Amino acid sequence: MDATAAQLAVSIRDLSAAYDDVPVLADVDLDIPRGQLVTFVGPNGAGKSTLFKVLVGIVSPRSGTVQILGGEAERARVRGDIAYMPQQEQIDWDFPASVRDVVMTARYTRMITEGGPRRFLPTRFAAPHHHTAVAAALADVDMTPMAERAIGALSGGQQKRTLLARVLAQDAAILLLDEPLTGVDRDSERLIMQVLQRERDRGRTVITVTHDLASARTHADHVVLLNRSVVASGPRDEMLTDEMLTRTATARWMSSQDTSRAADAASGHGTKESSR
Amino acid sequence: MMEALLAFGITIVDALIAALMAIIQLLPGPVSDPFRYGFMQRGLLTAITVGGVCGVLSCYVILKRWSLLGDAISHAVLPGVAIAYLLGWPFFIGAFVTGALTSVGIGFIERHTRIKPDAAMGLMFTAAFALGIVIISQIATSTHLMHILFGNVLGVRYPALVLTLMAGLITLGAVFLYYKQLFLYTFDPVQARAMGMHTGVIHYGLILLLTLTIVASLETVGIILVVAMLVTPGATAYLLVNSLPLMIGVSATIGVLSAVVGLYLSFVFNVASGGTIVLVASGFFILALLFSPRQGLLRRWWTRHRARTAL
Repeated sequence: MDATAAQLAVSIRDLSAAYDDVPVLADVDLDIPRGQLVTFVGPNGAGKSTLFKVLVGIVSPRSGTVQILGGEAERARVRGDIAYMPQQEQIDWDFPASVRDVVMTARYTRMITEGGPRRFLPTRFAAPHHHTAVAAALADVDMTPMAERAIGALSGGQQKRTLLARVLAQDAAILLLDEPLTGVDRDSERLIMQVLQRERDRGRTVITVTHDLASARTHADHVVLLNRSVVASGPRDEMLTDEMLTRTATARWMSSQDTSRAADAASGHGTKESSR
Repeated sequence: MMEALLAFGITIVDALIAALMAIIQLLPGPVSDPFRYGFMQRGLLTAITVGGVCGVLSCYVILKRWSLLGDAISHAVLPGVAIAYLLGWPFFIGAFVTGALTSVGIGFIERHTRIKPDAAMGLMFTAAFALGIVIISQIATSTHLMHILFGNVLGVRYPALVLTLMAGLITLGAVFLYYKQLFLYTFDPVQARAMGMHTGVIHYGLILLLTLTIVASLETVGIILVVAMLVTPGATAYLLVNSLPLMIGVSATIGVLSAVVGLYLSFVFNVASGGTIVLVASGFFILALLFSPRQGLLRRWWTRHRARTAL
């Protein structure tokens, strides 16, 4: 068990999760292999974001176990193995910080755990490799010229690239990205996908949530079909068939409203509007 | 043990006052004159400490949108002050206990019922405040109540001053040493959690610092006005700069300046010191509102005017 679990990025058994008393996820069993571009696909309210929040650690599961990289999830978090990219709306862009300040936060846990007494000092005095990692991440997303700019002065695409640089600077084994391609222009989209594919080729596991079936179709290696539970999980071409998508849309526990949204999602129309 | 600590504290206070006086001697006579009195010197040191520490914390209050929480905690310390007075404890301790209990109570109601945070705060702090007023009306004179409500910085005695300095030192130390945790928790708590930080501990730690600072400020500006010192300097700095360390520096400076100028003016015009200090801070805010290089109203009018004349 341990030998195979260590090959997996994420291994979930019998997971259930709920907000107050409303169940959102039940009987989730899921193994995500390492080194792949993985996308969670499912209708609105299917629990995609909740499963994400369980992995990030802001929602605690009601029951079941979550193993990350073959060990306890919390240990992986403390090691800095999980990098998380939120949607832009979740960030306060009026916060008094520069692009570099924000990307630097990705190094904070490492500075704290390996820093010795230096961990208490301002980031300016952190070890050089932290600054190198931040500079490399900024260069990867073409934000080097804007490193000292206040985050309040960024365009939507630049905000997204700043958050992506933060994920890259963390040097994590697992990258969790919430809707990485929503609300970006063509150029930013191409750049983001290139970066994510390169991270995958370096052996990292990239997990995204998307409402956009078209992008899952072109970019993902591995697809997890979700609707309150895992409907199916496997290589993209086996998952994104009409039959499988219909099965996902009509999975149990669905209200009629959910079904109509899921039908939209399955036919590839109107998916973006329903995300709001 | 306590006596030795207090004696040590008083030595430090005297040294600090001596240092302050050395600077004040350099100022022209009419300005330095009021500070010949011992009560003015103690008041000055208290005001500087409180202004600086409140200024630092007010940045987090602004960025976390905790103004109402600050107001709630400051009102909630009243019953603690009253009970401590009854038991003959330093009122610092009682205030701290009820302040902390109220913030935990607010969190509990918020998390376990459908009541929203603003109502939870309104509920808890008015109840605690009412309890405080009832107890005090039974045991103390109304002058005493007035001092707690509105502050009496010129009546500060040595033990209270020592406690204020200690509270300030703890708060400043924690903000400096845990800057990274506080930055990340304030900016993006979800990322803080994903990186294995204990966001619950940081959350309650920050509330604890807030309570400590409020209690330390009671004698200077009083319960009613302390929230002004926890909002106004930070809001002013927020209009002026775009980096957190700079914002903290500017905010602390504005806090100290308001406290010192307010104390002086209140002596000269013989008016309430707490109110004067807050009015000076509000004056700084209005200046920033008008003249801030990026967000100031003047600048906006000017660019609009220029755009119109250009047409």
